[in-house]
Amino acid sequence: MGPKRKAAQLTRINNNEPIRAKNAAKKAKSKIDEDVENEPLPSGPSSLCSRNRVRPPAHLVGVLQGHGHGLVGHFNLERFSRLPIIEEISHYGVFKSVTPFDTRTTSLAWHPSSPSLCAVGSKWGDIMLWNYQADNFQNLEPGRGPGGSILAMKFDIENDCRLYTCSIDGKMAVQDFVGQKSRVFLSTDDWEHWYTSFDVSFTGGTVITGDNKGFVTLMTKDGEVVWRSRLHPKKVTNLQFSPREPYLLISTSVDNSVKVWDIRNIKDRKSALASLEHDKPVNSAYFNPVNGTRLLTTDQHSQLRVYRSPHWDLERLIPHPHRQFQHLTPIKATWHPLADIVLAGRYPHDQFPGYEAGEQRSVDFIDPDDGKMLFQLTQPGMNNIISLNLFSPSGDAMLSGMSSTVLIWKPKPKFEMDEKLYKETESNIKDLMVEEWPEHRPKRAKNKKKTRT
Amino acid sequence: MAHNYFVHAHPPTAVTACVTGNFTSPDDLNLVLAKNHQIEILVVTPEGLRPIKNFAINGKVDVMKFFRPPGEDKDRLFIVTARYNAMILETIGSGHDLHIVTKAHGNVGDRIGKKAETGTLAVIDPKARMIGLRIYECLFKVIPLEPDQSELRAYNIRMEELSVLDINFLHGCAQPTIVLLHHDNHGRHIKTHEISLKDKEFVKVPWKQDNVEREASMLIPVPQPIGGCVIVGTESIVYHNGSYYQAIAPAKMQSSTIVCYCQIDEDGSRYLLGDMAGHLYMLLLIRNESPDGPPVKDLVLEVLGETTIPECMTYLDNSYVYLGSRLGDSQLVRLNVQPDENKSYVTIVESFTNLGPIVDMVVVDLERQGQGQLVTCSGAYKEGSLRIIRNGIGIHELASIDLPGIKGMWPLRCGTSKVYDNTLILSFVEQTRVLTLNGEEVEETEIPGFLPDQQTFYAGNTAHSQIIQICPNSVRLVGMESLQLVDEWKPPSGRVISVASCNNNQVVCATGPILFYLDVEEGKLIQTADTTLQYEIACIDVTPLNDEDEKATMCCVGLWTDISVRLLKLPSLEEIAKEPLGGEVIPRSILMAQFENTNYLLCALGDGSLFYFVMTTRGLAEKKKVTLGTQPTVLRKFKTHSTTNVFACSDRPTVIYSSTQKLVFSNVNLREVKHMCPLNAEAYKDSLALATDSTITIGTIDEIQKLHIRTVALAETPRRIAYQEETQTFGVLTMRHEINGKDGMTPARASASTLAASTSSSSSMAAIAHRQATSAPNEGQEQEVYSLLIIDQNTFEVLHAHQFMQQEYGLSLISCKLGEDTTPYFIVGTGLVNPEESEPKAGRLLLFQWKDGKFHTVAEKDIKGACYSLCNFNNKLLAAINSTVRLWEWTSEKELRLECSHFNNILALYLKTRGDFILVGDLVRSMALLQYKTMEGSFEEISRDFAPNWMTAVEILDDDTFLGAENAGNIFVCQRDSAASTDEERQQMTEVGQIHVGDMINVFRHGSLVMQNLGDTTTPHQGSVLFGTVHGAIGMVTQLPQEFFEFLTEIQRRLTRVIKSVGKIEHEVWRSFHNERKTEPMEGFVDGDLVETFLDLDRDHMAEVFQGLQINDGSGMKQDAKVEDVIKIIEDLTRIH
Repeated sequence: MGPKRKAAQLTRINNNEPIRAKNAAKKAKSKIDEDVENEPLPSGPSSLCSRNRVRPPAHLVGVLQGHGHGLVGHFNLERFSRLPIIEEISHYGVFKSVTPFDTRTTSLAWHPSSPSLCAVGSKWGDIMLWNYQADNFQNLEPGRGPGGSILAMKFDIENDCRLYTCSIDGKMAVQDFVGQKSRVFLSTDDWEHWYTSFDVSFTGGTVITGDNKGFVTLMTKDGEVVWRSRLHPKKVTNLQFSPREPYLLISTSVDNSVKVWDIRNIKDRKSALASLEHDKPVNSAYFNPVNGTRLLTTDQHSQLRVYRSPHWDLERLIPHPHRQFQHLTPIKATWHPLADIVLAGRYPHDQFPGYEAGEQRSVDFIDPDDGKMLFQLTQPGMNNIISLNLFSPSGDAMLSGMSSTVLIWKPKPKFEMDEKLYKETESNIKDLMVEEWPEHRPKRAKNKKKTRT
Repeated sequence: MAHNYFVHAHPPTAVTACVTGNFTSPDDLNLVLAKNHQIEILVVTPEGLRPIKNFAINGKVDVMKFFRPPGEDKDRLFIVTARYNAMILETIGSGHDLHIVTKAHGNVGDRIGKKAETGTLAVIDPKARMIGLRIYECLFKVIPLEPDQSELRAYNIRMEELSVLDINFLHGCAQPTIVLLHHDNHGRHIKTHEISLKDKEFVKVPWKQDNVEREASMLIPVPQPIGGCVIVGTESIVYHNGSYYQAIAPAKMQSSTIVCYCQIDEDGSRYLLGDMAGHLYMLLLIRNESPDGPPVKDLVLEVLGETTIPECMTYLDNSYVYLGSRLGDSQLVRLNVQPDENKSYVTIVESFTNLGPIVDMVVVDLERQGQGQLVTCSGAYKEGSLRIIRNGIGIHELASIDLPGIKGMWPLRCGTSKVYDNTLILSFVEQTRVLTLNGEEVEETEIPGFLPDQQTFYAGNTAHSQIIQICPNSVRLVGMESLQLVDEWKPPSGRVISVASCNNNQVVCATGPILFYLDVEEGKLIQTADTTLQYEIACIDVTPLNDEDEKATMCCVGLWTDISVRLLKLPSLEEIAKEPLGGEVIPRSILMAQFENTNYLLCALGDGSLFYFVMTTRGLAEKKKVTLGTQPTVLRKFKTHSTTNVFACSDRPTVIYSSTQKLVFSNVNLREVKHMCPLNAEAYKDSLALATDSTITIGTIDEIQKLHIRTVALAETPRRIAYQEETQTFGVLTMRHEINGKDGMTPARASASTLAASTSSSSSMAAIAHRQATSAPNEGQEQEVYSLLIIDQNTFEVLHAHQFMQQEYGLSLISCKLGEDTTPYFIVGTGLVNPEESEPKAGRLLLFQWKDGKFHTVAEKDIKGACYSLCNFNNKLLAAINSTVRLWEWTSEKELRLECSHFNNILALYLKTRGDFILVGDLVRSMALLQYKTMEGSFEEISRDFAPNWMTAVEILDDDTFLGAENAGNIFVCQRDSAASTDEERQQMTEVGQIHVGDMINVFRHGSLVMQNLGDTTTPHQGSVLFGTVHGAIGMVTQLPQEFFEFLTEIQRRLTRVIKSVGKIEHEVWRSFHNERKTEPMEGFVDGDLVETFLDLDRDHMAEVFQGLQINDGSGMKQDAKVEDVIKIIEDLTRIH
C-alpha cells in the first residue's frame, strides 16, 4: 500500500542521548515520495486537547469554549479562572473598617453559612461577632486582659450558633452565641500551659487540640478524651483535619516541622505519615479548599511552601518576607476558597532578596503553580502589616486583621459617584464606629474610638 | 422543597470508548461501545453491525478494556468509572436471555490523592495477571487478577514520575512490566518498571530513554515476537525496545495531532492512527528477517484517507474499522487495497449519529404543529453541524385526495406490473372504489371482477397472478391481468362475513362464531376447514410471521364476550393457545409480526389500548399492555429498509418497531389516522397511504426511530444559535480555522461560511487599533475566524455569512426587537482575544438586520470586555460582559445607551430573565438573582447562592426557583425565600434539590419535545426545561406536585431494591451530588431514567415493586396500587419527553 521507502539506519542507543528522528528517510526520498510528502493535508485544530494529548488553549475564552466541547478539563479551567478572580481582587478596596479592640487581632473566622458574619479574636481575649453588612456587632467574650489571647476559632457547621475557641488562658471551649452558654472542653488552669490551636472534624465527630508543650489531644465532639500524645517536642502552632478524610491530620510546630498523621494510627511521635521539615519554626499549614490535595505552610521568616498529596512532596517553595516579631500577630498565609491562589500579608525586609526601598506592606496574591506574584493589594493611606487575611467561604469578601483594626475588603464601585465620601456610622454597639469606605479615600485625621463593653 | 423529575429524552451519543472481543460467545465478534454511562453491545455480522444489547451502568465510563483470563474462551470487560468504581463483566445466555453478569467489582478511589490532570489511565497485563491504574498523580494502582475474585481491591505503588502522560504494559516480559511516558522540566521521557506481584512494588527499571520528542503523547505496546513499544508524538514516531530505536518524522503527520490508535494484526506489525483533523494513517513496522538483528528494520506511515474526528478506534475484522467520535458522528469504515479517485483508501460504510457536544440549542415550532423541535449546535471543527431533533416520526406529504368516510385501503398490482403498486382499493360503507395511479396522477377506474357496491374487508394480490376481494357476501378471486372474476366463495346458507384476513395463499374469514379457512389456488378458492368458536369473532389475522413464508402455519383471532385472543393451527383450525385479555373492551384489531427474530402477537382494543405477547412454541408469553390512544385502533404492517414495523392507526398514530429486542412505540407527527396501507407505486416509492376522516395522504415516512434527527453539516464549529421567526431564518455563530500563509489567511477547508450565497465582513476603528497592538500571527499558524451565518429555516441553506475581524470571537447571539423599533435584529456579542492577554479587554455589540435577502449592519458598540451572554430584557438589551451585567437601551436614534450595570461577579457567563428578574450564572460563584428597579433604573442583587459552584448553564423555573448545572456533571435547584424575616435570609438562596447527571450540561431551554395537551395524559407536571450535554444527550427537568413526587420517589426506592445494577454501583451513590469539594445525597429529584425502566421489567419483578404500594385514587383515600395503574402512570411519564 503506497510507495516503499528506503530503510533508515538503525541506531544503537545511549539512553541519555535524546532521540532525534533521523532525516535519513527525507534525504533518501525518491521523487514520488516527495510528491506525497509535500502534498499538504488539510490541517485540524491544534489548540485543543483530547485526553490531554494536545496543548490547551492559551487564553480564557479558548479555555471556556474548549470546556464547553469537553476538550478542556477542570484543571485548566480552574487555572485560567485565577485570572478573573485576580482581576476582581485588583479592584478590591477597604469596604469597612472597625477598630474594636485595644490590642491586636489574633484570630479570624468566617461563619460557614451566614455570608456576612465573621468572628474576630484579640490578644486580650475579646471575641467579636461582626455582621459586616448589617453593622451588627456582638461582643461574645469580653477580654480578660493580658494573657487572654484568642489563638483559634471555628464556627460549628452543625449548629451554626456555636463557636469553638481556644485561648492562651488555657481554655478550649465552645460558645453558644444565641443562648450565651459556654462550654469548656479543656482547661489547663495553668498560666504556663495553654492550648494553642484546635480543629473540629464534623464528619469525623472529633476535636483535636494542641498545646504549647507539644501535646496533642483527640476528643470526641462531646469532649471525651480519646488520647493525648506529645507529638512535637515544642509548641504546636496549628492543627487541621483534611477536608477529604476526617482521619488525616496536619500539625505544625515551632520545632520547624509540619507533620501528617493518621489519627487512627498514632502511637508516638514517630508514627507520622510524613514529616515536612522546614528551616524555621512553622506558623501554619492549610489544605487547599479547591480539592484538599495541597498543603500551604508559612514559616516564621521568609518561606511559604506548597506540598502535594498523596506523598506530601514539596511542590513549590515561595520566598516571601513575613518574619516573626514579638508584637506582631504571626503571619499566616491562606488559600483563596475558589481557586488555588495563595494570599499572605507582607512584612517587607531589607535583607530579603529583591527588596526595593519603600515596599508596601501589602497582601500578596501568589500563584502556587509557578510561585509568581499575581497581585499586591494595598490601600492608600494604610501601611500597617496585615498579619491575618481570610476570604469568606464564597470568596466575595476578604477579612483582614491589621494590628487592632479589622478590615473587610470588597470590590470598589467601578463608577465614579460624586458626593459619597468616607463616612462613619454607628454600629449597634455604643461607641463602636464603623468606617464605611465607598470611595476608599484615606481618612484625614483618625479619631479612634474604642469599645470595651 | 423541590419536586423535580429528571429524565433523558435522548441518551448520550458521543462514543468515549470502543473495544472489540468475543464477549457474548466464543464465536461472536463483538463491538462494545461506551457512551458516557450507556454501554452498547453489538455483534459483527456479514451484513454489518447488529446491536444486541444496551444497558446503563450507574457511573460514567472512564476506561473500558477487554481482557481474556487464561484458559477462557470469551473475553471479559473491565470498566472503571469517573467515580472510581471498577468492575469486570461477563455475559451469559444469548438472544432474549442474554444477561450481563458482574464478575467482580469494587471502588478503587482514594480520597487524598490528587487526580491526575491527564485523566484516568487503565492498562491490563497481556497475560491478564493484573490491571494497572493511574488515577492520582504519583500513584500506580494495581488490581491483581485472580480467577474467582468477586471483589476488586487495589494497592498503591508510589511512582516517582510526576506528570505521567501514558502507560502501557509491555509484551513478552516474564514479570509484568509497564512502560510509561512522563514529563518534567527537561522534557518527556520513557521509563519501564517491572512489578513484583509478591512485593507489591516496582522492583527494577529494565530500561529507560530520556528526552524523547517534547510533544510525545502516546505509547503503543508491540506484541511478540517484535516486542518493545512505539512512541507517538506530534512530529515523530519512534520504535523502541530498550536496546534499539528506530525513528521517523514524516511531514504528513505534522498537520494535526495523533490522538488514538488501534492494532490491526495479532503480531503487531500494523497499526491505525487517527488525528484531530480526522486523518487515518497506517503505521507499518517493517520486521527484520534476520534473527540476530534488531526486530524492526523500519517504520512506514501512510495516509489512508479522511474520516470523522476519532476519540477511539477499534479494528473489527476483514478490513472493517469502527471509529468512535465525541466531536462528530462515529463511523464504520472499510480499508481498501486500492485507492479511490480521491486517493483515499477508506470507504465510509456507515455513520452513527452523535449530537455531542451540544453547545447551544433553540426550541422552535417550525411546522406550527404545537410540538417543539430542537435545533442544536452540535459537533466541532470539520464535524460541526446543526441537528434538528424532533420527537416521533414525520410524514412527508407527497399528494393528497379529499375523500371522506374511508373504511379501509389496500394497494394492488394490476395488469402486468411486477414490482410497483398501481391501484388503490378504497372501501366505504356499501361501496368500494378503485383508484389507478398513473404516474403522479390518480384517476378512478373499475375492476370488473370486483363488487363496487359492497364494502371491502380485504383486497390484495395473491399467488398465481390473482387478486382477491373479500366482501360481506363473498370472497372473490380475480385475474390480475384480465381483472375478471375467476372464482367466488360464499359462506354457506347466506351468512354474512364479518371479519376476514388473507395472505398470498390463504384466506380466513368469519361469520359470527364460525371460522372458515380457504386455500387460494390457481383459478380456485378451496374451503379446507371450518370450525365454530365459543363466541363471535371480533378480529382476525393470518399474516405469515416470516415474510419469506408463502403460508402461515397459524391464525389468530380476538373474540367478543370473553374478550380473549386465541391462536389456531392451520389448516386444522385447532386451538393452540388461549389468552384472556380481561376487561370489557372488545379487541378490534389483531396482528402477528416478527421483530428481530422474535414473534409477537399484537391485539388492539376499542379503547386505544394494546396488548402484546411473545409467541413461543408453547403459546403466548410475556403479556404486556400499553395505551396508544383513546379510540379504536387498527394495526397494519409495513416495511422500511427491510425491517418490519406496525402502524397503529388511532387518534394518536403510533409506529411499533423493535430495537435491541425491545418493542418501541414511537408517535407519528399526525393528528389522527383512521386507516393506512403501504404503497410502493412508481411515482410514490416506499410510501404510505394514510386516511383521516376526510382525506387520503400519500407520503413517505422518516427513518423509524423515537427521536428523529436531521443533520445539517457545516464543516465548521457552531457556537450559538438564535431563531428569527419574522424572517424565517436561524442565526448561527460559527468558527472556522484559517491558516496564515504567504498570501495571507486562507481557510483550512471549505465550510458553511466560505460556501455561503453571499458574504460580508466587519471592522471598526477600535478593533483595528487593537489589532495593530497585537502581533500578527506567524506563517503557518492557525487562526480562528468567526462568522454569523443566516440560515433558511426550511432549506437550511446558508443565505449569508458575515465574518468578524481577526481575533474577534463571536460569543453570544440573540434575535430580538428593541425599544419601539419593530425591526427584528440579530444581535451578536464578541470579544477581542489578544493572545498576549489572558482575558479579553475589548469586544463589541453588533446589531444586524436580515431583510429581503440583504444583510445590514445597523449598529455597533465597543465594550470593555468579552460579551458572553445576551438577553432581551423588556425590549432592552441585557449583556454579560466579563464580570459585569449591563443593560443597554435602544434609543430612537438607533443607538445603544448604557442604562445600568451590576458588578458582583467573577465572570458572568449566563443570563436568563423572567419579568423584572435576571438570573446570572457565574464561572465560579454559582447564581445570583437581580431585580431591575424601574423607578431608579438600576439593578439590585436580591438573592445569591453563596456556595461555590462552577456553572455551565442556568435557568429560571419560577420567580423563586432556579436551576443550575455545574461543571462536575451535577444539576441543582436553588430557592429564594422572599418572605424571610431578615435581609440576610432573603439574600441567600437555599439549595433545595440536587442530582448527579454524570454529563456536563451546556444549555437549558424552556420547551418540550412532545405535543402538549394531547390525549388523556394524566401526568401532572409543571413546566419543562430541556437540556443538552457535552456527550450529546438531551434531557428534561420538570416540576411535579408533591404527592406525585413522593409516589414516584417510593417507586424509585423500590426499583433500586429490585433492579440489580450492572457493576453493582448503588443508585443513590451514582445520583448523589458529587464534585471535588463535596458529595451529598440526591435530593428533590426523581430519576426518571430509573423509574421508566419499570416498564421493562417482567411481571414478577413488577409485582415485587408494587407489592403494598399505596396510591391515591383521586378521592384522597390511599389504596393498594394495581400494576395496571402503575404501568399507566409510568407510560404517561414516558410520553412527556
